[in-house]
Amino acid sequence: MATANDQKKTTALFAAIKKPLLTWIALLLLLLLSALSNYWHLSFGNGLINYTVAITKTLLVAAIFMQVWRGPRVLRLVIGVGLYTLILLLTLSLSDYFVRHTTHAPWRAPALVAPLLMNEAANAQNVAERAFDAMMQMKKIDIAAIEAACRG
Amino acid sequence: MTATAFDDAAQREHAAVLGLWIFLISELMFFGPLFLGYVYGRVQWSAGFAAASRATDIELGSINTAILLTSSFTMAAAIALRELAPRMARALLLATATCGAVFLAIKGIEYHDDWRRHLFPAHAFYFDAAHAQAAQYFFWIYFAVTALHALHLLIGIGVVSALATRAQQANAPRWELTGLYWHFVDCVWIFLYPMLYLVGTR
Repeated sequence: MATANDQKKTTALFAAIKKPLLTWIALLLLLLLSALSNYWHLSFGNGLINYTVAITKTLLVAAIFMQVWRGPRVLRLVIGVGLYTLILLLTLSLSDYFVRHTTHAPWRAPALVAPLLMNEAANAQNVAERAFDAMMQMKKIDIAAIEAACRG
Repeated sequence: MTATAFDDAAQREHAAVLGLWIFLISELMFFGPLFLGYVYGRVQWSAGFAAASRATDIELGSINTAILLTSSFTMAAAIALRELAPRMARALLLATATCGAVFLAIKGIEYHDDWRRHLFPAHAFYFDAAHAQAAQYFFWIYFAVTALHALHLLIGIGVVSALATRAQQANAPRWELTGLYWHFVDCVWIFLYPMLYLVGTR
């Protein structure tokens, strides 16, 4: 009788942890895939595999371990809005950083723009020399004059 | 006559879970600037970042990822067995905290090795001259983001250990909230692993 009860209990325990157990095995297999893919030279494919695996692993943890689908809808809304805000902030900040070298915003202080111009000019010696000479004659930084000197 | 903000225990539990999720989202924002710095560097110095990433220890990084994924399983299993097998659930909580401690110990070994190889960016940094600037930037991000993650993990170990010591008295929401925090720390690492260890192929 005790054996039957034990068996029943074991079955119940296994049933309770079956989902997390299978998820854990899937997570380890995904980890193995991304770790092994690092030894294959697939160029763009490596990044694609790595981040697809990372997103899949996160979705598995969120769905099975964190049970985000079990709670009320407002919970998913909060998570969605949070992620959206993070992506929005990253996009806005990156769009500024990535165009700093190509677009000199009119409201930016001349003292911040001048080093960028000098950096660009440094790629060609004559241009750098002209820009430097022009700057040495200034009492106050004049971006238009530096740009004109760069053009020659 | 007393008034409460909730109609029943289930509503209170939902409110607690929602509150913790808002906290977790704010924690994600905390990591945001480091992710931003990483993406900027990754795009600006893609070859340099790949070279720097190759200098990290992929074996230890992968073992640590497996340990953290295992700890997430033990945490989820502990919650699933809370009522069915309380003693086993408590043992699983202790296993979770132990996994966290082992992760930190391995991270410590990695840090020591990085220091020995002059990869700590603030002290005697040395790297191949062609990628030295990009590598130094990469290792600033590497140390900042892994240290911030380690701090969260340390807090997680404390919270899980505290739950394990009072496992019998703790109510269901407390178990669930502890689990959510632990899984969140795991999710952050899931992204840090490819960002730091898998950039350049070996």
